[in-house]
Amino acid sequence: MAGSAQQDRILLALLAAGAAGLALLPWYAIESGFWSFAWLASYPDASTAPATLLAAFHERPWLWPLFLGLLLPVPALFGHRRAAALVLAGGIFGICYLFLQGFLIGLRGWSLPALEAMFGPVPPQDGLGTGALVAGTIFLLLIAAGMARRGAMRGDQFLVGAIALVVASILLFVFFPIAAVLVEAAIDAAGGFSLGALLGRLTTEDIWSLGCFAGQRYCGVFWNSLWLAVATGITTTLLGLAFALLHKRTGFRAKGLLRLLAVLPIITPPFVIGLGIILLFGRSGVGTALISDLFGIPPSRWIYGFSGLLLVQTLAFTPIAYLVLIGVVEGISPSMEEAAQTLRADRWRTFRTVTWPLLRPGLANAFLIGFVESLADFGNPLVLGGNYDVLSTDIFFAIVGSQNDPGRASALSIVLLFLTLSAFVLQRQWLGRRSYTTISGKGDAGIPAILPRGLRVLIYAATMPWLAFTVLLYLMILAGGFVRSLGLNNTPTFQHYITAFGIDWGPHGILWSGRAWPSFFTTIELAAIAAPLTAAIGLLTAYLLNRQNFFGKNSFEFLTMLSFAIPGTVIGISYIVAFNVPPIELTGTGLILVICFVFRNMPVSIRAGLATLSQIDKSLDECSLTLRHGSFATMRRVILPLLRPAIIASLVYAFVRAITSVSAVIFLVSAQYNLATAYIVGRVEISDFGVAIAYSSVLILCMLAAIGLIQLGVGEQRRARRTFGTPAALGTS
Amino acid sequence: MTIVNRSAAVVLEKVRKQYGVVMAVEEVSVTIEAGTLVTLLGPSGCGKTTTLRMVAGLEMPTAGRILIGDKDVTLLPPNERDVSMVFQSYALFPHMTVLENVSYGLADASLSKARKLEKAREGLRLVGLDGYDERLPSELSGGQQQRVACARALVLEPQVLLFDEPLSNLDAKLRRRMREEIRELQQKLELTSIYVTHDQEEALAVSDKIVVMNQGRIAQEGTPADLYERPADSFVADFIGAANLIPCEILRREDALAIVRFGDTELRVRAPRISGSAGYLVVRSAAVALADAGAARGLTATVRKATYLGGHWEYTLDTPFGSLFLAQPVGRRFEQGATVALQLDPQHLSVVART
Ligand SMILES: Nc1ncnc2c1ncn2[C@@H]1O[C@H](COP(=O)(O)OP(=O)(O)O)[C@@H](O)[C@H]1O
Ligand SMILES: [Mg+2]
Repeated sequence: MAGSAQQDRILLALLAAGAAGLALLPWYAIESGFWSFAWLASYPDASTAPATLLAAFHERPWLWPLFLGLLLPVPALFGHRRAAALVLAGGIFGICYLFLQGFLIGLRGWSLPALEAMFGPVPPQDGLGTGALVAGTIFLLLIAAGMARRGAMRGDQFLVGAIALVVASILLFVFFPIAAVLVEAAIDAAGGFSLGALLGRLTTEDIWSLGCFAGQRYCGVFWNSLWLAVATGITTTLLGLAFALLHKRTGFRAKGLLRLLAVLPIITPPFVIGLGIILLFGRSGVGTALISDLFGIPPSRWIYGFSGLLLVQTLAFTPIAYLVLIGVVEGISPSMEEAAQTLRADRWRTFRTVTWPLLRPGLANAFLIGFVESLADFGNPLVLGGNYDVLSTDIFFAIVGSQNDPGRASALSIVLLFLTLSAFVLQRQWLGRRSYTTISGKGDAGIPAILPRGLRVLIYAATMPWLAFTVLLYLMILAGGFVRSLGLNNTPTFQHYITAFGIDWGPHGILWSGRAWPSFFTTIELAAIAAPLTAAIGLLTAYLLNRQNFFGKNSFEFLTMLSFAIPGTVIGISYIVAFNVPPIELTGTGLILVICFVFRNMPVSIRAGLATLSQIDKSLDECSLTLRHGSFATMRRVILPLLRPAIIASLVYAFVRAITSVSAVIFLVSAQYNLATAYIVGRVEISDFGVAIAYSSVLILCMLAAIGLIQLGVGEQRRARRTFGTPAALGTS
Repeated sequence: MTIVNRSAAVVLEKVRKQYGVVMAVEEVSVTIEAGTLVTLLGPSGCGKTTTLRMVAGLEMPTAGRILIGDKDVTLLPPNERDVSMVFQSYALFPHMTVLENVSYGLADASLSKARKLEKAREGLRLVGLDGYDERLPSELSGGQQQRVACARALVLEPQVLLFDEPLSNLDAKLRRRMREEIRELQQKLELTSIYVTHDQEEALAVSDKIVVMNQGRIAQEGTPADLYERPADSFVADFIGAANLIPCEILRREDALAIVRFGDTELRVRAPRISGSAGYLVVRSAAVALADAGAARGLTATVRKATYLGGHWEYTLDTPFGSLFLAQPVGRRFEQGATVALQLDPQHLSVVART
């Protein structure tokens, strides 16, 4: 069937853009970066030439067939009978060939010796560049256009294109790297693949040894991680529940403090709590000194290991459990409890038969979240682990240290991934959709059952010390930057701030002389680039999941949800393994950091989008469609304005998380693109605590200010525009 | 400037819609003449909304064709069809003012901005909402929101106007008024309209033609009077006007009449399309007069329940052929437990097939 006029217009535009990608833009990645435009000076030499010139003059004739992908669809412009099939074929051929040639011909020519023997030597290829990116995108969109012409999504090109782009980018930047890790773990010493290598790496003593029960000093790293995660899961869940009950079921007044407590983990770089603990209980910590003075207990290294980690992770992740459980406690409608009481149940029976069963799925959920957070935590074990090895840090040391063993890092990643995915699957199985209904259930009228006195006392006894402790810890961190060396030499000084954030007036104006500035600016810049991209892709995905039906949607949904459960360390290592060599060579660039930010934080944006979209009546979109607006116009004029709370939540979250994340990016930073957290971790490792603390405090305050400003702005907006409330849903990860 | 009438006829040819294994609409063929209001009536889940959404283009039929004004639109997306729809939930855009809502569909580039606004105001005037331009939907009452939704659909001057249970979110009093307004507007502008409802009274009140649907199929189509007086089957008879169905035996036919027997009573009643010998006698309140037992000849029954409803009495009667539910004028009152005589008026009786 011939396409409509609009379809033909779009096809023409696609083909033109594809031709530009092949004939004008540099085909290979530019060392100095595309946007520096330095390459224009030598354009078009062998390293900056477009595919056409490479094929014609630079001995790379295998690039010619790429044009076939653009030529095949041409007859469709002239009303060819099989237009849809031609467009589809062009796109599929183009994208397959693009990747095939990329993987077969690499940095050292043919990547398989057999091919070299067959076709003779070929010149090497660098990683794919801008031209290839444009061409690949166009091929993808051609596939989408072809499918739309065949009637997919009611022929809506925008929708099919959006689905294609989102699916392809998730495959490329989430699942391809994970697959690369699996492959990497199976590469043996000789560089070939062997199952033996994989099994050998997966079954080493280091991982599975139960030696600590048999009198040896240490257990395998798997067990270490598991114990810690289980313990953290339990403590955070119990404390989180206590805080949730404190908030909802007692007369506790300082609720603002609790809200602040809930925001803190979002804006605190994950290792900062560990840092605070070191200041407090380290060998020369303030607390240690106090205790040794008062009780005569000599300073020890007890915080470096299991107990310290448990303490720190409990502090760090309790707020998340609290956020989860507050919804659950709210969802238990007082009237249900009242009903039980009118049915002659005493308090204890009410708790046992009504409250507890309703609480149980929420508790399981909170436990699993704490469990996964603990497994994924990287920053704290890095600063506090001591000899207690856990998976996430072991992965890191397997690749950065003297070991430099990507195979081992990959194997450890597989084990870690196995653990978190199991928790994730368990969560889905146990809770299914049930948890959502209980969590989102609106509490109806009625007075919450007053907790029995004993329980109330218990709750206060559990929460108040933690609250005080947390406050003390943050004060410590804020104060620590202003003394020479907290605990050892408490002379007030601004030296750390000057070292980190000094500004001088040079002959050419401002001189950013502080040592933190480069990483600070890089961080802000990359986070600012990543945030809108994260929000856009996340919300588009949410829109497709919530509003559209398409073939394979359920698997797609499962895959996106699965990416929630991939720990940052695994993402980091997988990016190194996957994007270190052509055809996609990104390591050392700022781009890889941006991509990492985007796909790591996207799940939260998806969740915020889904929560908001589910509150926007579908008939609004449909109505707009019947009012002469296509799906793109509908999205722009109806969905986006109504999604604004979710957009803002996503933007803030993506920005803040990009600034605070450590685990994934620490693998990916480079001298040119160093990030704040990586810089701070570096300072901590050489025990330069002063600067580390000063820098952390600045980050925390910056983000607190940013969040406050934005919330203020949103609040004003809402009031000005009166209420049509679609509450923002800011999930935790 | 006014709203121009561009009404066109709509034809559904053997339209079917399947969701996986669920057969939402099995087969619907119906013609809607230009300028008329046709109601799709049926119980919840019978496929009315699905049928309407296929006309709008929001669902693709699994099979069959849809024509609007002789043009096959089966494969066209909604925004390329000349229809507009009033949604059950009104679907007013909460972030736009009333005026923005109403002018939203006027996307035609050839129209100047001023003309669009003028047209939107004209639409609002038509539904009696001038002066509400700058309100937000959340600042309107339910009835007013309903009117904005109508105005928004009207200003597009569509070939077909679709209503999906437009009144179901209003209270009973307002419902009555709004349905009259919609009908007046439709007749004044001679708009082709398809109107979905599950409320038979509403359907009787507004329609030129009613299409009764049952389980994804058309049970009967006709004018309100047709359906009420000459139901095609027991489903229609029961659904419209909640008739009492008394099993009877059809003895023989005389032209459009049939001689039927139930118990030991024989009657000569209308029976337009019926064959076979088993039937139901369709007994509505209007066909029955109650009298004191003994005062008149005829069937006797016992009053099981009597309910006073102000304008009329409702009686549940035990009879030899089952229980009867009747409304009777006030004035004459029969106590619970009393024995009464039933006088049937063959003029108001009809027979449907019993299968
Ligand atoms: N998207 C859908 N997926 C599956 N089944 C559907 C869908 N939409 C409607 N149905 C089913 O089709 C039947 C008819 O639905 P509908 O047209 O909404 O009925 P009505 O409007 O007459 O109440 C119902 O049984 C309903 O469950
Ligand atoms: Mg319906």
